Amino acid sequence: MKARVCLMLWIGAALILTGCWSQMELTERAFVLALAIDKGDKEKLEVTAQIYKPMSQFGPPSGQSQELSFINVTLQGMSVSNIIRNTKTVSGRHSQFSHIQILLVSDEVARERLGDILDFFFRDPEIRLGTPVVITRGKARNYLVGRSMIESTLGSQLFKQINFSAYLAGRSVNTNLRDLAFGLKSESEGAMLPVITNDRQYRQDVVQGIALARRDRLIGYIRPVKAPYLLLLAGKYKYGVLEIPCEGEESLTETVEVLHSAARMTPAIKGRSASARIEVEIDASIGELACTTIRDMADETKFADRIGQYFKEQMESVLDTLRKRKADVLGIGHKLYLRHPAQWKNMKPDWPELYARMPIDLDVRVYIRNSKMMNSTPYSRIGDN
Amino acid sequence: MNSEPTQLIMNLPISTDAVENISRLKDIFRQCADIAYERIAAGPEMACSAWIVYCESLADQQSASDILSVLQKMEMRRRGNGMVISSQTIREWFEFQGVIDRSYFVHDSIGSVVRMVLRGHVVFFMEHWHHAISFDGLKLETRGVEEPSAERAAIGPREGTVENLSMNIGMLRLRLQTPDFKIVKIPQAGRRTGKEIVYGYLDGVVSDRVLQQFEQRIHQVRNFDVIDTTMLERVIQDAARTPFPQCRYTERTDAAALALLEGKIIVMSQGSGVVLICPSRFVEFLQSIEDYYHRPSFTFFIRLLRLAAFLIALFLPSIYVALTTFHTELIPTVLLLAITNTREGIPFPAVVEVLIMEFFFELLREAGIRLPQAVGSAVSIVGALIIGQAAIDSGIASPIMIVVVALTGIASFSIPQYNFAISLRLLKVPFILLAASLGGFGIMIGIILLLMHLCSLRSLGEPYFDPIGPFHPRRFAGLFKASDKRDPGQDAA
Repeated sequence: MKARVCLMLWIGAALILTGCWSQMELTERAFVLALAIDKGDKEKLEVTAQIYKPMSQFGPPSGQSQELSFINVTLQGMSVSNIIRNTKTVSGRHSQFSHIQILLVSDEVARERLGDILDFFFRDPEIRLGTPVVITRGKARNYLVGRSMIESTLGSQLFKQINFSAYLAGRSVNTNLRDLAFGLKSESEGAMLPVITNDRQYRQDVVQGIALARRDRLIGYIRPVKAPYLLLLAGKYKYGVLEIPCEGEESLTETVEVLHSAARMTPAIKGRSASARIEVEIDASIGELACTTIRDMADETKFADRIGQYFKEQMESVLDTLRKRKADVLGIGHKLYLRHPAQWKNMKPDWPELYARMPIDLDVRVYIRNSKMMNSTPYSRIGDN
Repeated sequence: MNSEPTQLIMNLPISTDAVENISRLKDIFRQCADIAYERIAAGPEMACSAWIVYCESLADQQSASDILSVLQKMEMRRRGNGMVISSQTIREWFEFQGVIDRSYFVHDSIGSVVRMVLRGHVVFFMEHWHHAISFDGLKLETRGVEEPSAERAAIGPREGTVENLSMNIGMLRLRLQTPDFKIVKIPQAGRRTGKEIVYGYLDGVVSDRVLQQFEQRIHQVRNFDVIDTTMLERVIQDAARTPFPQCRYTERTDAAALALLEGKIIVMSQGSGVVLICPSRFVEFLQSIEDYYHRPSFTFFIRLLRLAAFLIALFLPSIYVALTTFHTELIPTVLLLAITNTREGIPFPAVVEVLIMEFFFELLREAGIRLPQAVGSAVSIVGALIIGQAAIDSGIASPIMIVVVALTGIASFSIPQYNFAISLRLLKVPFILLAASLGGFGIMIGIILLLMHLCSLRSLGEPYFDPIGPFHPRRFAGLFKASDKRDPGQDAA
């Protein structure tokens, strides 16, 4: 009998003391789809939350499509968590962050304090670590104003733009909160971030280029044209088209489509200095040919060698930039730490300087896997070649 | 009122005075207009009188006149003084003259005569004889063999049981032509209903332990008044306080025969086409006879589908409530935004909305079953309009809610056993309440309690949750295929 009472109490306690206590109706919640962090007045931060505005079916039937499907709440304050807590005072609903699509940080803030503003996002259980983080050129809030191109909200529009820019175009990188934390907290203390810019000429937002971060702040950029080569070095290049200028004729370019690429980086320690070797393999198919004629296998190999040489030059210039900025975004330092933890301890304080002047041996190989049509000019007249 | 005197008369032996016997019968059958008493004068100079008693509404008139013809023949054969007709003479007559090709019974108490009359027998009294003879003159209106409307199948036999017990047994006997198929009769269940009940099993296949348990219980049925076979479940079942049925029912003879082959015991009763199958396990309620008629790949698919239907019928509304009020992060963003659009402007919390719509739906379902077919279709039109369109337009419910409730309903319809689907309808409500108060954690608590309950249930002493509860890997794998029914004896040869 006593045991039974004890058991009942125990079960009751298990029911009451644990469990989910976040009960709240959908109509009491405000779903934040995007957050933009800017510099506010003086030392303050300015946070803009884009909140989804549900379209009630009982609203006026006409003119509904004209209405925006979101509202922006902008507040200033000293800390991110406090500002976010206060969004309720403007929107009237409890902000829910589990569906955040994108986190925009303006370059102005990122140059000063990227690490500490992100601390809230690393700790809060509602925010997913898979949320992409993007650096904006100019004020971040401006990218949340206006209409989205295709998607219903600007947040998901930007989210998809980053995804495709990184995955299919090879113009930028897709970095989420977890990647960022791993990069910045690793021994290399470096991370890559996508960049979004506003194209003034055509008034459209473009995701291209890569921002470099070290320790807790933004330190520089890799230009969009160089971005693919950084991705190739990091082994993060998925698909995309690379351009090779013709020798002699600067106005003509040839292109190859990258089908698959792989990079292998092996660092080594020699006494007090370090070196690294990076092997990049690229499987490509020919996209456009403007000044090359491929008639047989020998021509093809020659072409592959030529573009391999060109890619290597490009990558070397990217590596120079990285070393000049002391941005170890390829994770060479971290790999050294994993291989030689004892020596790394002594090496770590001098790492940025060591890195800046370390020799990196680069080996680039291009394989033409699919040549499509090998004629230099498809649909040519007989005898033209 | 007069039960005691009636009881006394019932126990009396048949008197040698036929008139007294008849008056006693008339006393017992007072106010029973359908009992016929016919006096026949027989023997030389019509000196010997006899009586025929039968129930007009049950017995065939032809049977009564058969008796007369027997007596007439008897008289013609008998020369001389036939004042004393011994029972021996009559028995010989009935046996050897072959006049009546039905079996006959000899009675010596009033009580047994009364019972026989009520069962459609024609009873024959003779003066100076302390016995009575009866034979079966029952004429029953029986409908033709049709496909059972509750258990339609796309392929397979269209043969369903009827209300005539012997016809049902015959149809089963044709499907199982083996002396191992045993049919045991319990002639009189219930003092007032006096129903004839039979149970059958396949000797050598059925487990002795189960059969013993079953026989112990079924014999209690003498004290119960049984209107229909389904009422017997109360006698047979192990646990009364559970929503889960422990017996299956079928009106298909092929399904009954298959159950016998699987070692089940079937119970049937006169006047009902329902065949009760016991002991039944949880998983069998999700199976259908048609599974055995399809190709194995399709059987696999259809059983998976039913498993999904079971889960949807039980959990979908509660999962909806838990997701929308507790775990919005689990819903894909685009879907979530669509749901928030539909929920905007609904005055009730999600749980109230679910309960209202489930209540509407249950009301409609109940109304649809009871009403005649012509009116029933009107109900479904009104229901579809009211629940579907008007509820959304008036802002009581959101469209996604309608989808949830409709899907739950359809899932419960696709479960082959009706009595099992009912238990799911009942269980769904506590799950909704658990989800509304504790979210996904509450649903987990409910599932744990449900599994504990299912594992503790037994059907005729056999574990109810069998291949899952006490886990049995091979039989568990066999859940998704309709296994061949092979004779184990033939296998060894």
